[in-house]
Amino acid sequence: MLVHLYGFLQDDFVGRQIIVDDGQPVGTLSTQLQAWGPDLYPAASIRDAEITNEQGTLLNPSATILDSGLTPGALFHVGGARL
Amino acid sequence: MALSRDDWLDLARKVDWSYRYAKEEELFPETMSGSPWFTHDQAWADWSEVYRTAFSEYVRNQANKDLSVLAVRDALSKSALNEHLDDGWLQLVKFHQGAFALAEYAAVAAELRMCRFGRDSAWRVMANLGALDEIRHTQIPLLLGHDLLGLDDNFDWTHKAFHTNNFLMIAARHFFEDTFAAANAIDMAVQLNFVLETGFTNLQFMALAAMANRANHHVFEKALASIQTDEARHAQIGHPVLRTLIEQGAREYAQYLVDKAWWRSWRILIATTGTAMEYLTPVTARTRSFKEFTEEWVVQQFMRNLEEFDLDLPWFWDQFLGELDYAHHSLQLVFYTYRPMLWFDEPIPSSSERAWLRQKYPGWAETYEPIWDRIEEAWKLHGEAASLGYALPALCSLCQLPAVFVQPGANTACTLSFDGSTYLFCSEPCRWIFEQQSQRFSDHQTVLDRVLAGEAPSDMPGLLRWMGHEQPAAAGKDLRRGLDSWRVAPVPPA
Repeated sequence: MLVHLYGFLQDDFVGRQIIVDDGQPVGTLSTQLQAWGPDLYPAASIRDAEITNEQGTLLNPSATILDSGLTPGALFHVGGARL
Repeated sequence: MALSRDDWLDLARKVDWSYRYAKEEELFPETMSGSPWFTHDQAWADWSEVYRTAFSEYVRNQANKDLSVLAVRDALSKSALNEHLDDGWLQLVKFHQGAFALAEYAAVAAELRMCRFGRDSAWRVMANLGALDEIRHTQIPLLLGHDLLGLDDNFDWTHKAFHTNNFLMIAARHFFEDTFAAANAIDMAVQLNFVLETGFTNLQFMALAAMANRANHHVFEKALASIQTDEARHAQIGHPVLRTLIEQGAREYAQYLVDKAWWRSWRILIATTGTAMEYLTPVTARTRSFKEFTEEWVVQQFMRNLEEFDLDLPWFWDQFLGELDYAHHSLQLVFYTYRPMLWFDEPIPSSSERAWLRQKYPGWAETYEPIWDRIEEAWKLHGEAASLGYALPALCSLCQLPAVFVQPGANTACTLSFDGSTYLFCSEPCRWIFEQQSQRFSDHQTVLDRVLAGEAPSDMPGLLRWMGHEQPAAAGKDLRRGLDSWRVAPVPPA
């Protein structure tokens, strides 16, 4: 099912809304968020991206968005070392 | 023998009737007059303003003020000085006029509500004059905006903006409606008169007037300063209402109204004043930074006002002080990268503007300058399109503004589950305000909610038209670079 999430990318200046399939792996959120943002952060510019939920819990990149508990309207953070 | 002013003034401003045919609570129902509800004899009979004005005095003063503004307008129109105004400054004026002209007209209805449902006659008389003030505050910007149409068609947003679905105007309307247009007399007196007008309008009108003087926009300077003298008079409604609440044991509710209105006012001022002062005002016209103006003209005065009433600083005070260094800089990046959604143009800061920002905000160079560098580089490599944002920014369910990172590395966004839905907020104070009156706020949809519900177009060109922007003419562009040439070139025949 398509759901909307709010992604906050490290070093970006605003949260952005993205539409995702809740069956896709959590790990894909990082590249999708960067790709949907302005052309300032080329895709895959973050190495070993860490994706956390609002509570700061590290999410398993292999788990699906649905299984990770990211429901419609949830927010997530993408951090890690920038390449 | 002519009566002296003291002999007749109270007859002109403070005459209360004893009601014989209807009950007081029927004439002043709690829904409209506000809570907590006290009888006039119990709580409101001693209501008094500091600067007392009769209608005849008001008319004379206002006529002189209007003559003064119009004289400057006439003199300057003959010398065509508007044509020599700084390009960035013109955008600031366009922004200000669109954001505030018709909001002032909404305030007419608000003042008239107090004029009918305020609990003492002196309060009602003051509100009557306040309503006349707000009509004037609508008419002057409309007149000046019309004068500037010859320079830029988008000055029609002076009249148009308030009626559009532009995301900034939705945010502004949400604030104005909550704070006064859809508030009862007590809530409005504290939120509009005490907090917004006493606390913040110095910044919007006096600080901006000082900058207008240095930017050689003297008719705008005269208009702003003239408007602020009205604000200072009718803003005094707030003090005696707040004092009555506290004396009658409603201190906790008074504190709530002050805290709520402070945060909401701050949020809208970041957007309308913070960004414009720091990024659209020519460097030569700047005297102080937005942060310095706020510290001196807003923070100090507000703290004195709170001390007068023995109220506490709002619970989020430290967060507010922290935001002075960051919030408007983050929001400016949103404005720039989503400029097609604005009715005014935005610049990438020039070298002299960057030097000012580095001097006034020690953290700016480390946090924000690299982002501006990357935007410039992206434009150089890939053209205008690479400097724009495409995924829609996350919008706060309370203030309706983009959920910006207000401190480097510290995202303040948060969510709340209510009635089966998840709501996003830019900050804890916005979430707190929503929680206090969830039923009041939960039905309001952000632009994103409307897109998801199919009520607004999901494609960017369609969404921009829905917001009122015919592309590319009626949309913001880079102030100095304009548009890529292909965007304005004629479409070649097939």
